[in-house]
Amino acid sequence: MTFHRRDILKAGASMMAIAAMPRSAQAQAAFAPKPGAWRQFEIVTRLDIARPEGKVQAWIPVPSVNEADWFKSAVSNWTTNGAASLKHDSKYKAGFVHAEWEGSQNPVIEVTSRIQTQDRSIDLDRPGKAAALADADRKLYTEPTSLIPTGGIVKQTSDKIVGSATTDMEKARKIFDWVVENSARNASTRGCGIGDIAAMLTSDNLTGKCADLNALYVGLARAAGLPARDVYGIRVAPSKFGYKSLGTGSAVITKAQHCRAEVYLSEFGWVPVDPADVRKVILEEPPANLTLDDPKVVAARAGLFGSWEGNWLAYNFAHDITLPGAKGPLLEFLMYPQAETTAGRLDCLDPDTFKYTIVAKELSV
Amino acid sequence: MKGFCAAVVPCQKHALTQSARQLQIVTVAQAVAPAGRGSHFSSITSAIFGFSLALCAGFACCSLAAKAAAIESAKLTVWTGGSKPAFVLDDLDKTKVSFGPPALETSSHEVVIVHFFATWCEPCREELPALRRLAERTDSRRLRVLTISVGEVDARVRNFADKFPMNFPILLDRDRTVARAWNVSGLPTTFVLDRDLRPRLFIERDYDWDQFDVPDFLKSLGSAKQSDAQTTRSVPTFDTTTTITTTGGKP
Repeated sequence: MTFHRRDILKAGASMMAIAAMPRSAQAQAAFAPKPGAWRQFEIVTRLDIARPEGKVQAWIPVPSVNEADWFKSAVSNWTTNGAASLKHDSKYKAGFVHAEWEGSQNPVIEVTSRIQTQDRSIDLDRPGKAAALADADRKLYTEPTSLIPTGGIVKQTSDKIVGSATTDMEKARKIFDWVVENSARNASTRGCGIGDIAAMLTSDNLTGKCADLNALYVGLARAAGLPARDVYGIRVAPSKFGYKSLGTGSAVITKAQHCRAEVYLSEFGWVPVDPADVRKVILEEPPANLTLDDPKVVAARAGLFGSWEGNWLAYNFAHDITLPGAKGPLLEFLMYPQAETTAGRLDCLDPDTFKYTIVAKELSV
Repeated sequence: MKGFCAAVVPCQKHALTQSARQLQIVTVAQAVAPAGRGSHFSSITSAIFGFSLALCAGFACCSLAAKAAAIESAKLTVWTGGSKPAFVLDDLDKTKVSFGPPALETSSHEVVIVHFFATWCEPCREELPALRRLAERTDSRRLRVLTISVGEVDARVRNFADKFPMNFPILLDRDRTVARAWNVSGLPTTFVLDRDLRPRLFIERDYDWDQFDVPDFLKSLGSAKQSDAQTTRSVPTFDTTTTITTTGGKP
């Protein structure tokens, strides 16, 4: 294979540049999440099926991640004019409300969830001994999924990026830098993208949004033998660091879905990463189309390897989900509400046929 | 042989019109050289190689930078694998479209293009208009184009087709079964098949179908058959009854 326009050597050079940056310059970074203050949010998802045909079903994701250091999913409740129940996929335990309507004129469901979240930051200068990853989890988070193969072009690309790196940290960092420097956020990508990383690499088109770019990170990391996982969720609040692109603009967060990623390093445990958000900063932060050496980009890039801001809700880590009762195929990931009528699965990104709103409200803890 | 390709392809990319067409013919002839001779780089015959060197000398204007860029440019590659499995897929009207046996009638199409794409795939969206133009300027009795949307919900593909009408069927590989069976790993991916539905060319990225000419391709197929006959290499067998049919569907 060839690397075409992209030069993986750039990744190494940039990493060295950041490492060589004086501590004082890094300290000036405007993006520096630090844990310590839990925040609580209530999220209401309301779904209307505009053109019901025959039996209608819907699957609405609910927060189902519980990580002691940074996220707590509380119970979800719902009201509906159909029948509904809370279900979980068997493999990843991703939760969703499954609703059904038999010939209802106006299928409606409103799901209310509460979560607590806080900033998350790993001190990468202080390696320790993290809790070991269970064998089952290691297998789960290194195996391929339908859209994240770990062989073929993904493995070849990963091998070239990792090169002679010997430690997991070096590998994880090299892959992060490579994705940051060789991908691009594409404003015209619908939703958050699909995340078909083999297609991206084969076509040499590494553009997309978070579900594309962070899936690329996850696939390349898994191909290098590092446990890694996408975390599918939604932004619930503005960024307190002044990054308009990394937060919500209002309480209505219907289109604020965002997928992040984690990589497991034995000395640190699960480490948060988000190369896709670095590309979002580059594309969207004023005056737009920033360069890699713009201070806003440098700060975001430094922060988004090892930390996340707690202005975001995590739904699940799931891939290839079987939706109970569905006629359609496996779902690559569950970040958007889904629905089917007798005409088939609706396009969750088409507001003409599938209307839903998601509203977030911050509550006191 | 890689040196040849690296020098010629930039010329294809940048030297338009007649020169480009001549070069394309060479590429097609290369691509349909007898199967089983390794990669598309190594399968070219010595005669074509000599002709190609002459062409390269004539296009010395191609810069190294252009060469580097053009290595990336799309080129059809000879298919050296076997035949592809049959499938039955719905089109957007839920009409069943079959590829391969069971045959109901012998296909009259001399060339069949099977094109895998997705509406989210930007190179795919850029490529489809050229495929449409190819279908427009080619006798529909000679060329059959089947496009296959991979892993998408019907509604999304239907919306796309409404906005960008095509003059060929869009089939729905909703669960990627056909893409997997055809070992499609990236999008877009396209196979050019002969009248017997044997793949002859393929490409795993977008391609400028304005460069493709069905008569030239058929001519090169004839050359390849002659070449086959002059060698002792056995020709792969294939089911001559395979065909593309449409059945069922909405009233």
